[in-house]
Amino acid sequence: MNQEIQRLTKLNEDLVRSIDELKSLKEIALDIFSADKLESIIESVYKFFSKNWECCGCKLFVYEETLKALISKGDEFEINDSLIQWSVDNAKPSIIPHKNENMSVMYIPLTIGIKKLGISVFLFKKKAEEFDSNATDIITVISYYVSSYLLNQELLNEEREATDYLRVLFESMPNGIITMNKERLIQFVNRNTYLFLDIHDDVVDKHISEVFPKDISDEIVNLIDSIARDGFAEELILSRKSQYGLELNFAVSCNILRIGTTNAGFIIILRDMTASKELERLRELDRLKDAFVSNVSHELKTPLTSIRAYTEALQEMATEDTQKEFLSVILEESDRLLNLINELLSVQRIQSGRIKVNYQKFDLLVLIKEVMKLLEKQSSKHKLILECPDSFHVEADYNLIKEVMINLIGNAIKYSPNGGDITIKLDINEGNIVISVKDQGIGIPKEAHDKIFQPFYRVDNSLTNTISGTGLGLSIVSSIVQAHKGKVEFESDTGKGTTFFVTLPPSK
Amino acid sequence: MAITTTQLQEQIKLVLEKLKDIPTLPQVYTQVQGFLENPKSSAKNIAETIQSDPAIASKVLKIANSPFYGFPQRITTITHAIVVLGFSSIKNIVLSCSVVELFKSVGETEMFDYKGFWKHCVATGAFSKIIGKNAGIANLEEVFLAGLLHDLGKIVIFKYFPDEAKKINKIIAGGKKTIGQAEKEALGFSHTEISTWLYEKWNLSRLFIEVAMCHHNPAIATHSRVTSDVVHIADILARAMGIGWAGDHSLPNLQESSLNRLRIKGSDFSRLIQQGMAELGRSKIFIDALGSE
Repeated sequence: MNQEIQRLTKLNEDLVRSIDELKSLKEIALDIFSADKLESIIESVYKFFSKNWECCGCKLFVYEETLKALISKGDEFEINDSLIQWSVDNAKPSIIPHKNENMSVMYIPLTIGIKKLGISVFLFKKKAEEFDSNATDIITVISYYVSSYLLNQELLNEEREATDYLRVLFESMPNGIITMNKERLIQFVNRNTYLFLDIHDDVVDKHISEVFPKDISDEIVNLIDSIARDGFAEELILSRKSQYGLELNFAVSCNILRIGTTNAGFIIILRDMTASKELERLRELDRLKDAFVSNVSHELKTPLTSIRAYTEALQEMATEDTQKEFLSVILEESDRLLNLINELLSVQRIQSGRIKVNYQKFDLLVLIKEVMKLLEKQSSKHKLILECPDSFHVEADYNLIKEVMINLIGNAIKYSPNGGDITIKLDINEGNIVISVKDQGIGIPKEAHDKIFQPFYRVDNSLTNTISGTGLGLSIVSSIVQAHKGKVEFESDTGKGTTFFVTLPPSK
Repeated sequence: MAITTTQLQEQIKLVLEKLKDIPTLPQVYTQVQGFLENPKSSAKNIAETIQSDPAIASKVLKIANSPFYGFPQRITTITHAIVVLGFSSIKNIVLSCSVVELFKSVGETEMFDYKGFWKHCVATGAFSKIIGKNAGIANLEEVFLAGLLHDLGKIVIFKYFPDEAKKINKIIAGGKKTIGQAEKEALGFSHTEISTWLYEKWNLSRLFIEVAMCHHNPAIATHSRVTSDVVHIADILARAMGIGWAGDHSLPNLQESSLNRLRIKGSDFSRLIQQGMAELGRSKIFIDALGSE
């Protein structure tokens, strides 16, 4: 009976103690999970340890890439780095006897699973072997509490960073972005939307018709309707005047926001069209210019043809030499003018992409001989040499290629004012047709090499300023050759001469 | 547990209960376990108990100071070992030392290479620890022990059923049957059932019982599926590496589902084996423990 009473008394004592422990565990758990700062958590833990196990010092280290000392409380004490490392690596709390026999140091790693968050180290005025298994259990549980707080903080930070990043992403987009829920109430709007639509009020949880200008919201509502109905809709182009009177053009597109397979609402994207509108305006100007050049050239050509015809007639009728000479000057100048107009028309035709290649089979040799005959008359100082087989059949546009040859051989004559040999050569290289025109003229200076195919570009120096020209010839050549899917290249040595190479793909 | 209620289990029990001297764990283990259940036990109490068995005590100190724990300071007393490594580690160390002692008492039989077999057990433990770490298991000491204890039934058969053991050896020498099949043919049951029965008798935790029962087929594990997967793979890796003697020359099939559950790819094996061999080096103390004294 006595024994039974003793047993029950002891049991009762144990239970009372357990209840006390549970109470204090509950308290510290509440403290930890309601704390907003690590400092206050460590403060509570330190107090708890002091009350129960005579804790008199505490240090906390947290991993931020490396282990960093964060908090230190109570008495100063020495820490062993290799014990810290061991404790964290093995995820094991460890009680180490202190130099002072009556004290001990407890290393409590803060880890969750394989994740290492840090370590807390406590100094106790108590021998290591005096801790019972219950105490070490409670200490371990508390360290789990602290670990989960640290992990929560880490996860929260990660999430905050991810959200911040997304927000920055949305805000820095050059587009306006609006999201709405299924009830079509606005959920999110980025800064650019405010600029696009000139809105100032808070728009979240409002319907677009409440906050956007009426004409625009009507259009957007229609867009959303058709997206909701058909699953797709064409982009809208809207425009509005900003408060400063500036006209703003923007495209509006809409899509369903899907989370998994459920329809969570809509996303609307406003895209600034000012840049593309401006481009469109410039293109239109360019078109007008082309039409103008083309019209004027035609208008100029008609009277010029009359002038030329009458001048020729007059020349035959004229009896006096002076008269004849004057008339021939008029004729020459008219020819020059006509030539210029023709070239302008060619460039105009080519640049507007209206160049059309009429492929036909012909003998290139015949064409070149014809051109040579035409040009030989212009100069007696030059010797035109043709190096090629008996016949050279190609498939290309006869008239266009003739223009190329007139330009190339004409240039060769023009730019070798002191005369010399002009060699025209026909060759086959890797199946391609290669026409080369080589002169012994003044050459092309290095700095002009990458410009000579640009329209209206002329090499401008003391050697060339006596040579007349429009600067259109090589531009025409290059465009024609390109239209034939070929290429023009050249080699030039200033003072020694230039060779142009026209490469055309083989006949079909 | 579902399995113990089956008729087969009842039969085995009947056979085994007749055994006069069933292998027991040293008293010290039971005492330590008792102390740990009492929250008021201090390191001092437990240390005194362990020191009452000098063979165990010296092994505990050796293991505590071995590279297996890699503690950066010298541990000089059992008390020191308990506070530094913690109560649950001490329980694990005492359990493994107890198993070593048990091997010494039952292992010496001509029919079975018990030292080679122990080596296989330690290797399985070491590989389990590495695979367990890879799978993110926190308590790696327990995983090591689960590996160490996965197959003890084999040695019990060879010690307590000598006639059947001869038969089993003959069948295995035929080269076509695994040790499990041979045991079933000779005895009607295999080492897994013996291990399960033994660990229940020893009152070991459910983890060790289930791993012993399920490591050939982890899919049937209910309580300790992950550790069963881990030990299953570790057992086969230890056999594949030719470490020790697992009782036969066969290499069981790796369960695809275990690899999938642990997310182990074919390309992971060379790394796991390398780390496993290093861990086996750190666990050498357990192999040495059997030979020493």
